Amino acid sequence: MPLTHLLVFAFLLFLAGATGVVVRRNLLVVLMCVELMLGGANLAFVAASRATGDSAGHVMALMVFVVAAVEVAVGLAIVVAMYRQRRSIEVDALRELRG
Amino acid sequence: METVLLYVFCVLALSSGVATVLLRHPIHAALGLLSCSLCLAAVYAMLGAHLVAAMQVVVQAGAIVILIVYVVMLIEGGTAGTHAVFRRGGLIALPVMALFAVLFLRALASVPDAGPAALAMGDAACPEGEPCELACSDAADGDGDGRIDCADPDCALHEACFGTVEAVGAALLGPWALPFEFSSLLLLAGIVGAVVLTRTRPDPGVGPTVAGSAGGGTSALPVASAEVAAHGGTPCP
Repeated sequence: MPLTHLLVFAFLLFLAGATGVVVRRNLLVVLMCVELMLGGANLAFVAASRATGDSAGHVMALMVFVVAAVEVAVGLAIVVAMYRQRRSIEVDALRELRG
Repeated sequence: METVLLYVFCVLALSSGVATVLLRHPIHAALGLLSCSLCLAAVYAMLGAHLVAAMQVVVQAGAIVILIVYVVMLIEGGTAGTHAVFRRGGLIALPVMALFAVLFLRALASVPDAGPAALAMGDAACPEGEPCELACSDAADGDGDGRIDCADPDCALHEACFGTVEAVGAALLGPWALPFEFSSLLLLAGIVGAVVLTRTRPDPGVGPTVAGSAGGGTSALPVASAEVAAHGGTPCP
């Protein structure tokens, strides 16, 4: 399987996640879509690592895991705090900063 | 055969990801994310990244998805099913994603399409004129630096070592030690941030321990004490 095919799959996964971040209303699903984007980036790292024979890509993939774990922990805390305050987790409910 | 399986798992991961974006209920979306993570783990394993594949199953498919499912249950099924799934004006995403795709195709043109490289055997990582571990599977220290087989960075590219815990661990604690240590700082910041964000604020003038016992719950259960405080008429912070 050529490297370009794997990169195309990684990009499509990233694109699906990015589309979800933009179009979904539920903040939880938006967080899941961010996870999808990180998964696409990870796939690109691992594929490039395999193609070049350099294990630095694996190290970067592990770093992305750390970032994903921290992001989901803080993100879910924000979701819970928002639900306590508003009884809703709609993205469009957050409008205070609108000019 | 292996190439076909690689394509199959890639397509499965992609379709699970699309299902995550499209499905209405957050639990279904979380199942899509779980399936996507497991398929990605299979892809990683077939690409020789064994440690990354194991971490993908444990961290992504295990911890993160479980955490998301907990929160979905905590906030009444994600309050789904009654509202529209997509935002109004979400169609603006289409031109933006098309722009992304154009940029990606331009970047892809610069990628050398060599296919999966045949992994270098034995002495590929050896610098000139230095002792080097040449036999990576004989359980002996070949070059006298105290590191045996896959734990020696000389063997990182050997087919029996590529992507294993020994090889990736040697890289992680060798040239990548500083980013590795900083990732622990990031985790600490994440823990503190999550605790601060979900903490309930005690009443002004009352100590936090008194407020915790007055709320009927222990301070170790911030969610429960928040519910109690909300039902007790206290304004939620």
